[in-house]
Parts: sequence; structure tokens; C-alpha cells
Amino acid sequence: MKRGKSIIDKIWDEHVVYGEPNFPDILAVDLQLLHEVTSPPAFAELDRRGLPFFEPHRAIATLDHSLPTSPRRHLTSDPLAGAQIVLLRRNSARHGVPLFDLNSGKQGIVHVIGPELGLTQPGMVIVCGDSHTSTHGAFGALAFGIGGTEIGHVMATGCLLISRPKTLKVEFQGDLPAGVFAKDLIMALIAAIGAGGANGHVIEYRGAILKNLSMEARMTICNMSIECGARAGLIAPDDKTFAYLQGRQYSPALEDRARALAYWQSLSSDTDAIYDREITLKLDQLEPMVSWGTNPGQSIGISQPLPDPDDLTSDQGEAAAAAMAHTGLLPGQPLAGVAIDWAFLGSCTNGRIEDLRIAAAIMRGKQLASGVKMYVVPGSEMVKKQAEAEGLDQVFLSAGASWRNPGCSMCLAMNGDKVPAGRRAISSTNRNFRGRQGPQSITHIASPATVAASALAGKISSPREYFFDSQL
Amino acid sequence: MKGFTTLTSVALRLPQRDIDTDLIFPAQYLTLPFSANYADFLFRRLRDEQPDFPFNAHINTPANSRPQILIALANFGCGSSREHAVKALLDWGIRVIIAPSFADIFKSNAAKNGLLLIELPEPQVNFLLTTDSPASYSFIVDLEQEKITFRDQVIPFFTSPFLRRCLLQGYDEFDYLLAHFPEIKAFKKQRERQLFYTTTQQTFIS
Repeated sequence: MKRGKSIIDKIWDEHVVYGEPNFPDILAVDLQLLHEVTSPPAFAELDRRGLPFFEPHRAIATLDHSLPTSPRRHLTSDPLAGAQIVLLRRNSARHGVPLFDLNSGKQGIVHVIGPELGLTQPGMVIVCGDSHTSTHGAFGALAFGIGGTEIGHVMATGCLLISRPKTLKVEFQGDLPAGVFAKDLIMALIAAIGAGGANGHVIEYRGAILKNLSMEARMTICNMSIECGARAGLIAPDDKTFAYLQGRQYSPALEDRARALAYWQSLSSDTDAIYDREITLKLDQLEPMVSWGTNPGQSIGISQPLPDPDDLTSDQGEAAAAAMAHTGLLPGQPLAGVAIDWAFLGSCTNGRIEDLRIAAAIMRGKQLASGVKMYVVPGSEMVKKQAEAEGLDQVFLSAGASWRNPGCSMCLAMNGDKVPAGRRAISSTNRNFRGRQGPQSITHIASPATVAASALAGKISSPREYFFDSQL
Repeated sequence: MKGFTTLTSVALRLPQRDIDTDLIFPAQYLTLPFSANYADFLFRRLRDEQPDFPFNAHINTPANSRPQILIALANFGCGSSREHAVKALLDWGIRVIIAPSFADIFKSNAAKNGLLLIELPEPQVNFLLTTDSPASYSFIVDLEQEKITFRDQVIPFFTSPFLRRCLLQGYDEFDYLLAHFPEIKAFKKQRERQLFYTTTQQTFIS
């Protein structure tokens, strides 16, 4: 019986080079993104086996994770980080892989530069040694994170050995209220199904709302697919996608455009497509979301009372109690009003120009609350330049925030930017794991708007008041 | 990759769910070369912050006498794709992890490195976590027969045929891919038609 296919099925089927029963498929990869932290062992394995880099024309590299974001970032004080950076420069040059290095004008967080350069296109299989590779799914690509050994496989053969995942359709119903954004939407999904809720699945996000969301908002949604366990999550391409892909460095040349569009327009799910699982999420009553615990599933609406661990199943209850012990919160208390020490705006989740614009709109002419420190880290050199052209940097600097250079920065405390021990941060990032932003630090993840409103108030605060005024 | 048929060991118990790879291998150590021994960095923060953390009981145990089995709750290995987490577990001495579920990328990474992951239904995992005399009883994990023997219980488990072949024979996925390289090259030539840019002038070596 011939049945309808989802976009996930279509892209998968199109990329299978070889498959035998009970074995994983050999899946062709169209684009490999490399950065300095996870590429070294893969290059080393290539060398050890004496193999050439098979498709350097289907790869790019950049620096993001261990790079400092300080003004003099070319001089890292960490010799190991410095060695990784030098190593990537050497490896990429040796194998002919283009490297978007510091001050190339194009360096940045790998999942920010891919789309903005037009490298990310519908129908592609895209991989990187980083779990937030799911970001690129916003373009109707099948994009997922891989480990170091797999990076080596792709370097040598342009393929991965990977079993076909199950498919999960997530249907969003209704509209986002004012002051509630894509970040809140995806956090609400993760809170609903849990940190492992989509394990074994790739998600297709559906719903009328998506048509009204920008490409950057779609990237925020797809970015956090991994936080509910989905290795990849995608949104079918539409006119917004095609418009975004006009005029970028790697956009199809004029003579290829009609052919590209015809291919891209074929990438949608059949009306009778069957998914292994389906979920709907209603948006109309959503509030700004903030995490309260030690994984992204432990999140809640900003005014809602924290759950009582005794009301949860035993392992969830124990996890909740342990998480609250770490974050110093109590059952029944709302997150609104909790004092913060640090605010961080940046990351592959929310470090793009629209994120900076929203935060700047809230912070314009205002000051950080007394005692609050804030880092604003544009996701790429292109974003930084654009933000400066729009005067956003001046808004953040006047408010008392630090305006930094592009990189992963404070998301994961491995490049000099850390939240000090005992301090509480609200961040536009994707993970609130215990110690993620620095040993014994506390992280609350939230939307850029919520981060900005909270930084001004000195406590976790809803940004909604700024959006009832139609000026914003 | 080291092959694996049976293994007899006591188990370490971590009755926690959603153990993420930032806990298993904190990001600050990601600048270390991959050739280093990662045993000291396994669960480093938890070991420093909690003196009674299970792994601390074996600080002075020689690496080849340590427990080789870890039992944990759902969604083990979630979060970052860092393969360092798998390597740290193996470098410390863990060869088998038993849990109700594992995160997808962690599963892939484990398979590439000979770390056996066994998914069992939650009631069985809870039994193994809470049964009397926990620390001193040995488990026998038989990969060929796909069963775990613990005291008087025999617990069957499932592994995918391909994974079992890789682990039992020390068979390398890299070699499997290379064996199909002619098909891959032919496929890639065709695929070029659906791709609309190249990042450099140099195309693949055919």
C-alpha cells in the first residue's frame, strides 16, 4: 500500500546510498560544518588511516566554542584553547576546507554563520560535531549533531552510518500572545514532553503560526529540538525561506534559481503522510517561559508556581527536588521576582540580529539594575556589524552591559566567559544543566525579551509589559 | 575498537534520570587533546562537590579492578554530542551501562567506541538499583546470548544485529563505509545535481 511521505521521509529516502535489512543506512551528507573543539580527533583519524578529505567543497570551518569573546580575542590565555585554534587553521588549510577565521567578516557561531551565508538550504543533510546542528532544520534541511568518530566518517566518505529515526509531528495551534516568542514556544514543548520526550524521533514542526515566524524565529525553535531528545527537527520551506535565500554568498546563482526553487518547493509532507507519533501544542495561553531546574524540560510559565516534587512520579519527583536544591527555589513559588546577578544575551539559540533588536528595544535609554552584570554576544561578525550599524551596541553599552566579540561565550563556560560560583544568571541560551555556565552557578534559560526585562529589573521579570504598548 | 563477549563485574549505581553529558564530562575539559586519559575528568564536578558520589569510592582502586557496569535512570547521556563523555566512561573503566533509555547521540557515540548500552524496562532497572546488598554482587553480562545474570535472576536484553556484530567482532563502522566507497562515489556524482553551490573550487577526488 503506497502511503504518503513526510518531508523527513522524502529527504531520508533521497539520501540513502545503501541499506540492508537490520543494518543502519549509509546516508549521504551534503554539508559538513567544522569547529575547533570537535574536529581535532576526526582529522587525526583521517591522518592515521592515510585518507584524504573526500569532499572539501562540501565543508566549511569556523572558530566559536573555545574562542574568547574579549576585545583581544586573538590572544587567548588558555594554551589548550589556543592550540585547538591553531590546529584547526592548520587542518583546514591542509585539506582545502574553507575556514571563516577571525576578522574574515564571516566568523561566528557555526549555526549562525551557516544560514546567514546561504550555506543551509532546503533538502540538504547537514551535520556538525555539535548537538545544536538541529538549528538548520529551520530551512527544511535534515540537520543533526554527530560525535567525533562520525565526523571522521563524513570527512573520509561524505556519509554516515545511521539508522532511520522515527518521526514526530508537532502541530502548533493558535497564535503567540504579545511578548511571547519562538523561544517560549519551544520551551513550552520541551516542558510538556520532557528532556527525553522525543528520543528516537526527528520532529516536523507544523502549524499556521510558522508562516508568520521569521527564519530566525524558526531557527530558535529547531535549535532546541535536541533538548527534548530529538536529534533533528525541521520546518518545511516556504516563501519566507526562499526569500531569505536570495542574494546570500552561497545562494544559487541566477541561472540555477528556477531549478533550485522547483526542487525546494517539492519538499513538503504529503497530506496523507503518516508519522510514528503526533503531538499538538496550543499557544494562545502561553506565557514567557523560564527554566527552574537543571534541564530544559524543567521550565514553566514565568508567573506559575513551581511544582511540588511530591506530586510528581518518583524519579521525576526526586529529579525535581534535587534540581530545586541546586537552584535554591521552593515548590509553589513563581519565578517572577527571583533576583539575578547575571544576564547573558547570545548563543546559537538567540544570538541573531532580531534577538538583539528585541532586547535593545526593551533596554533603550535604560540601565541595568544595580549589581547586575550583562554580556551581549552577537552570534557572528556579520551580526555584530549589522547591530553596530543600527546602533544596538550603544544601547547595550549605555545600559552598562559588555558588548563582546562573536562566539559561544557564556553558554558553556569553556572560553573564559563564566558565571561565577554561587551566582544566578538568566540566559538566552539552550541549556540549564548543573554547572553549565560555570561550576556552582545557577542558570535560568529564557527568551531574549525576558533576559532584557530581567536585566533591567534585577530579577526574573516578564517582558510582556513592554509589548502591550504598541510602540514596540 | 575492543571486542566484547561476556563481562563479569559489580555495578555502580546512579539512581538519577536525565544525566547529561555536561555532568559526565564538563565543557571546560573539551580543550584537552583527545589522546589524553579522561578518567580523572569523569563526573569531575559531582565528584568534587559530593564526597559520597559513587565514583569517589574507587579513587584508589586500580583502573583494571574498578566496576565495569553502571546502572542509571531514564535518558542517560542527554545534552551535548561530545564523544568525550563516552571516552571518559571507558577510560575510567565502565564497559556497560544499564538504563531505561539513552539519548540518541550518546547511543551513536557509545556504539562507535565499544561501550555497551542496555535498555531495560523501568521496573527491572529499579529492581537492579534497589535490591539488597547492592555493591557486592556481581553481574554477568553475556552479549552473545543477550542476557544479564544477577544473583538468581536471568534478564534478557536486546541489541541491534549490527551493533552486536560490531561489538562481538570488534568490527569497525569506518571499514564498512569504506567497503561501500564505490557506491558512495557514484551516488555523490548524481547528488551534485541537487546541490547549488560549492564551498571551494576543488571537487572531490574521484
